[in-house]
Amino acid sequence: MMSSVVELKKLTKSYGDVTAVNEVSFTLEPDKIYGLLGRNGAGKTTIMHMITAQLFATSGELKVFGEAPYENSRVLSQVCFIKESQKYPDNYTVKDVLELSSSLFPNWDRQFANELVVDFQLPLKRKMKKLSRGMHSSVGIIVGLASRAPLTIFDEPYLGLDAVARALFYDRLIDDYADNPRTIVLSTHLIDEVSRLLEHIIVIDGGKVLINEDAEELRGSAYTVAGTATAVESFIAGKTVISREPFGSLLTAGVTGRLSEQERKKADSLGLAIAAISLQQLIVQLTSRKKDVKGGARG
Amino acid sequence: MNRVNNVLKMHQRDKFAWMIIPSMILGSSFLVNLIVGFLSGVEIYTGGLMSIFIYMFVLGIIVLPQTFPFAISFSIRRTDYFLGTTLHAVTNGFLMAIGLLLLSAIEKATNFWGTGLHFFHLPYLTDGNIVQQFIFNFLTFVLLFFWGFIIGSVFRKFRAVGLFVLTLACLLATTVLTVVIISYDWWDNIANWIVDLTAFELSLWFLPVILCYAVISFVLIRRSTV
Amino acid sequence: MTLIIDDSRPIFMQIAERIEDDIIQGRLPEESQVPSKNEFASFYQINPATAAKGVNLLVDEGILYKKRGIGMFVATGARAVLVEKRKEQFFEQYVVTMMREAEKLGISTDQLTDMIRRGDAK
Repeated sequence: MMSSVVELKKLTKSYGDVTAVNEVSFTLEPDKIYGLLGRNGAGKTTIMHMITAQLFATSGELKVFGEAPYENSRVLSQVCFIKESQKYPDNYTVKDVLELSSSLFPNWDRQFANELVVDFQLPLKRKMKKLSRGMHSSVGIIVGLASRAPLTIFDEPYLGLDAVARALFYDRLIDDYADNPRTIVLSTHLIDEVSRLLEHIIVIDGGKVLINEDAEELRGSAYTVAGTATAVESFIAGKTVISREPFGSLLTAGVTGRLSEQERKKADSLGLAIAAISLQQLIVQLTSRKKDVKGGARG
Repeated sequence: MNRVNNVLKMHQRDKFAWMIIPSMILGSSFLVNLIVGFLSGVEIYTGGLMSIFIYMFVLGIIVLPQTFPFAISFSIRRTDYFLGTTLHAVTNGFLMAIGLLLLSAIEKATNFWGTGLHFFHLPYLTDGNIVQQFIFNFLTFVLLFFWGFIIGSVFRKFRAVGLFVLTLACLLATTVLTVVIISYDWWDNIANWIVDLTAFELSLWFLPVILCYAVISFVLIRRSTV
Repeated sequence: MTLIIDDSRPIFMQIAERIEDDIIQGRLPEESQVPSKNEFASFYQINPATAAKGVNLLVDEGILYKKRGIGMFVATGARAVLVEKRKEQFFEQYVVTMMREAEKLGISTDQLTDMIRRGDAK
């Protein structure tokens, strides 16, 4: 039994003076759905390119299915990486892409692929370069799902897809995953949309791991306190504050940690309003104001 | 072998690049010459055949940007990509070389299409026996493909800067070589040697060049990223 | 089908609460089978592991029990236990909050009882 699907140890990628990925370490376990989140340019795509041996690390250690992925067909045949700006040969039709994929990915499910083609209303005979942005993305999604690769990575796979098509993707993903568990990595900025699908969340910020935590642990792990500045200040003293928004004589502060019953009563007596912070808000706050978030990094 | 086979399949699916476009280029060139031949009624020796060889060179350049990022993203190893692409190009060159021989034979048999058009059956190129003619066609295709392919590989690995440096280096090398040749007064010897070469002998000299191009592009592709 | 899930609280707790609601309101009678974790995952579009965690929470509390190889079932007596638990929560969540708000607005206990009667008539 494989203990981990992907293992990164101090993985670093620099371009001259610029360090895109800075000593990143994490482990992906089998059959979980991961969210790899963070702002654009945080280094997510670079990390995924290294995992799939499309880019070379400057230093550090990387193992995929227990081995180095570079030129390793045992590893690569188990990996499917779908990215936002995937290029296809100019003359390829949708059918060409799907047919070739069926010989490239050992677990390919032809019937499932055909069903998805109908679901996403794809014209099989049309050339890839003549597809709309959304249809182009749909092809990637179909390959990613029907490949059933033990490690499937989706990097912002839905450029140009409307909300209905995205919902369709989530629906098919979770249904198929339930029947065919595998390790899936979803990288996206639409955190609100995918967060409920995720079992584990890794947030990358400025080329480093900011959060590496079970999704359920993160939900409800932060809250906002609002009220008069003095009352809020006295309440948040000694707590980990991730945001501070003054408004006249009022103050709204974001705090990490769970609220005890005693604290809740204290807030009540101080006339403070407490509200839970959603996962999306939490990540936005942690990644947008780096100076304040020192204590915000967890686990 | 199965993995190399997948790369072959990848190229075979692109019938436009490997079959339709070259046929169209050669066909249209031939047709224009044929019409001119009919209208003018004079015997024509044309270099229209060059177009198919030049296309092979162009194909060598564009095959990498067209298929490499796609192949690598779809879990194909670089080594398999190189082997499969090489195999596909060599097979294609083989078939095209045979095709040209056939067309050349037809041209001769139809008394040059009845108009005196020398398009496929040209002097010098058809001097040798049939095997020698085949080898010339075949090796020229392969040489031109790899010539294009090495340009594509340098661009892939080192981008525009690499290509610029390479061009400069080639120009510099040519200049130095010319200076050396002139200063040692080798011109006559070299000119005589080339003039004496048959098409077949010339094509044999392509072999080490092809090998050299292939090895360099293999090394570059192994280190290329998306 | 997607139901609104609150992303600021652990989802497994919300799943457990939904199952509790279904048991209390009789949609899931005692000794009936509870949907599988995959059915929950598909229905709510959530991760199956999260759904399983919600179900297991209720198993730990004795509300649900597992029949090996068949699935999860509602335990006999589960409804009564849940109703008791909810009454306790009701007091904390609604009554205490209501009293506090009433105090702010200067509503007397008599006026409040009157209001409750009026609400009952509706």
